[in-house]
Amino acid sequence: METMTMTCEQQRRLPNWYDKPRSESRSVSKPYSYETRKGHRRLGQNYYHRLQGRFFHHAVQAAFFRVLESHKAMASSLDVDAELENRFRALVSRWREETRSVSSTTDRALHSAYQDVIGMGDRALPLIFREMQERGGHWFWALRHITHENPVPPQDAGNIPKMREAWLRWGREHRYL
Amino acid sequence: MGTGAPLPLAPQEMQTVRSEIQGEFQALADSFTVTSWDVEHYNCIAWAAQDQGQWWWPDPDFESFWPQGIPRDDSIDSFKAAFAVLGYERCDSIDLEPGYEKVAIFAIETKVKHMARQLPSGTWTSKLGPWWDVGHAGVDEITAPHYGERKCVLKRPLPDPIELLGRP
Repeated sequence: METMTMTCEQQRRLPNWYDKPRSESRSVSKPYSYETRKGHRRLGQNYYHRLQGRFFHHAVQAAFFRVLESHKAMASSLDVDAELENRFRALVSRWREETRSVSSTTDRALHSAYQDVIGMGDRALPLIFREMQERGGHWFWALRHITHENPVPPQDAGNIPKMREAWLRWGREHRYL
Repeated sequence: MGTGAPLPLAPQEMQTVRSEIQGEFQALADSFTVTSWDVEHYNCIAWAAQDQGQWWWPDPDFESFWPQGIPRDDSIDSFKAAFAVLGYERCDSIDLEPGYEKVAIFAIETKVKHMARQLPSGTWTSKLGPWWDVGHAGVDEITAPHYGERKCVLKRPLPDPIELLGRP
């Protein structure tokens, strides 16, 4: 609005910032010497290195605590796993002992120790597969109830070596073995 | 297999096995023999049916082998029907009858728990679940709290040896 009150001559003298090259326009506002630029750069670099150092320190500290936490978690999960495995071993031992002369598939599967193994759910799967691989045992009922799968073809029902092989293959495919 | 010949185990091992079996089956006379290894591929029903390749049981979940078309329940009638497929029919005597082989069904009330098979010598053989096979002189020696008692005996004619060898 002020330009409207200026004379044509006054308007002509006004610097045209848009048309001027950048170097010229800067020199108009404030000279930026080589020394100043060097000083700024040094300051910037120092600041950057200091920040970087501090960040690195924090990063190392954070990583250390992360590792510590994960080790703590791992140790506690190992405790849980050991407890789970001990419980599993005790149940298997009792089931084998108390059903060693039982022929009824139903009675063997409804034994309380066997049912407790089923109650352990997914967490028992690696233990069941290892037990079946190393010592055998009729774990088909438990596996079927935990996984809701049955890889045994109907014509192989009752053929224990084939049933075991089918389940072990399934266990390997699903990385339980 | 199934001849009743004792298993070749070291004496000390055999003694351990025998005392474990007698601990569970207290009616067994000292004359009983351990006749084959403790394999879990077949059970007493399969042993009675002379099938050592499968675990027989009429479980409703089709985990075990059971003849097709026979009800999958553990009633005595279901076992009679399954063995009728193999040619067995009801009989009243447990005594040896030349030309016949016999099986005995053990049950608690109406629920079958065990079967034993008569050998040509007149003695009996039983597979104890997935455990050992034993030979015993009397069929009722295998009676135990978890096997119940003998409820019925079935028999079938033995194949004619001349038919087996082939007629000239």
